[in-house]
Amino acid sequence: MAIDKNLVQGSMGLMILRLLEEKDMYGYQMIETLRSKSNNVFELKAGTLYPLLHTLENKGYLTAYEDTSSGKIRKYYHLTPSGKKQVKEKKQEWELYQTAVTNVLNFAGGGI
Amino acid sequence: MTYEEYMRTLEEQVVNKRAKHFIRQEFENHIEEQAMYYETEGMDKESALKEAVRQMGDPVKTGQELNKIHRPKFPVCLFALAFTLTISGICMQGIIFSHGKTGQNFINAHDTWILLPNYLINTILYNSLGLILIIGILYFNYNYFVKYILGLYGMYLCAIIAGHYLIRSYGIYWTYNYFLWMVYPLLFAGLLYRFRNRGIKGIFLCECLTLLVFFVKIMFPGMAVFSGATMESWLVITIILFLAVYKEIFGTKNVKLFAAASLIVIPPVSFFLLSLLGKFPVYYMKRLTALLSFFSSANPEGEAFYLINHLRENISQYAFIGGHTLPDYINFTELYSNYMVTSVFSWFGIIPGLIILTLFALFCFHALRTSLRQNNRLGMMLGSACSISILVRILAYVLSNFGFGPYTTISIPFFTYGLLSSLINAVFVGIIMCVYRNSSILKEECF
Repeated sequence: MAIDKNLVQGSMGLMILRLLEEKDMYGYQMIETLRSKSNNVFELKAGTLYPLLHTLENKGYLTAYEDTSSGKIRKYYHLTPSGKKQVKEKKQEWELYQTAVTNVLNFAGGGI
Repeated sequence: MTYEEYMRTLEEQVVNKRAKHFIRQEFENHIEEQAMYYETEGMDKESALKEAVRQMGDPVKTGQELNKIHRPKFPVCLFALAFTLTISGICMQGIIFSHGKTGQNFINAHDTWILLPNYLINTILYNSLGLILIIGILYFNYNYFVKYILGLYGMYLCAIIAGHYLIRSYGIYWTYNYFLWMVYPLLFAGLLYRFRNRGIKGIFLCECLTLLVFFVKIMFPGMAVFSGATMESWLVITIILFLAVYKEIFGTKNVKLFAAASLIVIPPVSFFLLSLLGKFPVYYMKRLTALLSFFSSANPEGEAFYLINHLRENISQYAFIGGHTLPDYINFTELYSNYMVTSVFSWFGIIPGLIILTLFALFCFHALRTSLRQNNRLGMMLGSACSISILVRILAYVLSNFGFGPYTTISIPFFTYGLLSSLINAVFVGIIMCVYRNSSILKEECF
């Protein structure tokens, strides 16, 4: 089942930051990891990912560096301390939102 | 859409050339990786590339989004402060100088009379050249600085040796020596970045290269081995080394890295301990004691402290506004170079003096904040080296102008007279502004 784009958009930044909490990654690797971790639910396009990564970098949540150890130049993204703080805050926010939505959806007296 | 069409359309949306370059590189790599994956899944090369391009999405929308992010930013606040301080410096120097002939007791009256007609024109010219240099540096790709850092380091060592053999005038050597020490923190910041991600080994390399500078200076001393400028330089490099460790330039920060960085304090601390134990030669002990006396709150006795005792006594005599006097115990040529703050407080009064000091404080604050906030670690290191260097020199300059520091040459931006001083300070200010301007369009590169 395809998921509404608007539903995904708001949480994409959080998911990217969370992935980078594990290790530094380059763009293609992030798309692949996100796809496998979400059981093929999130199929992010590069055209959406890179502007998002560059915005997060401008906000100071990420830093980027080039690495040639694989034989080609790859741009890796690294989570900054400010980014780590952001993940923590956004995760709490998301959990609160998720609980609230679940509570409303499971509201027993709400059925017609 | 073909690969070439996609890349061309994407690049057309991005205005800035530098941003175009790294965006192209990142997208090319991505398409290449994606196409390789499709090939491993059984597609032929052409179809794999076509599918990889299709997966990229709309190049117009993506390019426009990226263009919004990657634009050069003009450092309005820093530039406004720099411009205000430059104009204030020129006006104040001009006013002070035009009144210098009215009853002041000059030590070198003859020199002063020779300098009078050219002084204002020169200071306007030097500051204008400095301003042009700042604007020029705004467009500089500072990645090149690190690309050639080892060559620059070699040239620096050659400059120390050349000074030893070629300069025969004490005055010229003193100035040359001062500016050599003044630029070393900038070079050191480049070295720190050059040996980034190398852990303790990287820190040791930077420390050894610094030790080599000191060693070469001792071997080829010219007419002055160390001076106040050496202490300023050492203080700045110590601060930026710890900053580099804190900002994880050498890897995740830990106690070992901080311990390795602490080795930089061994030479001065050992000098201090040796002096406490009385193991220092008598001459150096006396010089060290005299140096510490310059910073003591009690008025020290002796001919060497004549100037600082006068400067301290003068503080209580400054008027709130105005005053229209200039200290007659300072050589007039020093008043508009090494003692501009004293001149401003004496001639214009406490309130205008405090306004100038506030402007300097604001400039340092903005410069340091701008530098420390950079995501580009090279930009952060270079900007911080320049900001901290300016801050340390301004503090030393202001303290010495109030009689709390030795009588020595200290060059600060906007207010000290001289072509070399204006240009080198312009390089420092220009680099800070360049780092700010390029914060979203210059990325870290592999060297």
